[in-house]
Amino acid sequence: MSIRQKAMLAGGLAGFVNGFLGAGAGLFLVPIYAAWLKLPRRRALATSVATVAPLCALSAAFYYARGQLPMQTAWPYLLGGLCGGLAGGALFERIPVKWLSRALAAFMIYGGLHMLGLIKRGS
Amino acid sequence: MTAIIAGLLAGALSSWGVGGGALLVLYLTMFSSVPQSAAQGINLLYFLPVAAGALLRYIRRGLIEFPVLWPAALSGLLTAGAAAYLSRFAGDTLLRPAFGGLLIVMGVRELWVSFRQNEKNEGDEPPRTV
Repeated sequence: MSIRQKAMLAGGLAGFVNGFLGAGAGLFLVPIYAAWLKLPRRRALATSVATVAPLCALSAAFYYARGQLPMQTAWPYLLGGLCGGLAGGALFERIPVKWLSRALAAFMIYGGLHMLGLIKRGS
Repeated sequence: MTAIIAGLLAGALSSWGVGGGALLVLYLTMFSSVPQSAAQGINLLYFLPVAAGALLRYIRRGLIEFPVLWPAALSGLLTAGAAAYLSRFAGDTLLRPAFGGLLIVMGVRELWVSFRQNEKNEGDEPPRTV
């Protein structure tokens, strides 16, 4: 299977997760990029951010159309997010890969437990 | 002000691709009493400025694998649109635990790999330039 076909399958799965569950696509994408498409881990992380961004834009549009995106609540987080993205991007190459991988693993296990209903979020 | 700070901290984690979005949804539902569906909606939109801030640098530093990005993003957009449309009709009672189980297995494997990397001290590469 060519790189392009593998990438299409990986992206297709990520889109499915993103559209159906609204989050967590990157959690699937990074290990697939690293293990199956043989990207070095730091490239896998950076490329997953680039892949998930357009998916989030599309899914956010669906949420907005359904009235599930309160802009008045959202804007301060968007502002903070822009600063966080700039800061995170600047620091990214200084964080050892093993710690990035461990943070990813912790979020995957947390996300998995949550999806299985073993962790309840506040309502 | 606390919202901007929460957004900043979760944004740094999100921009590394390790899943900081989960933190923002948690913060919104627990401390800001935003309903779960609205928290997910905010989190999706929120990823756009986060990614914009970080991707500027990742592209400059040559960290993005474009031959993987284009086909993945294209097929992802198609399935995301289809899934977002279908999710109105189909419940996620079956999908959610299936994905959850898969995530736990992959997460444990991820941990194992990272500890093996620790021993061998590899897994990184010098950045390429575009």
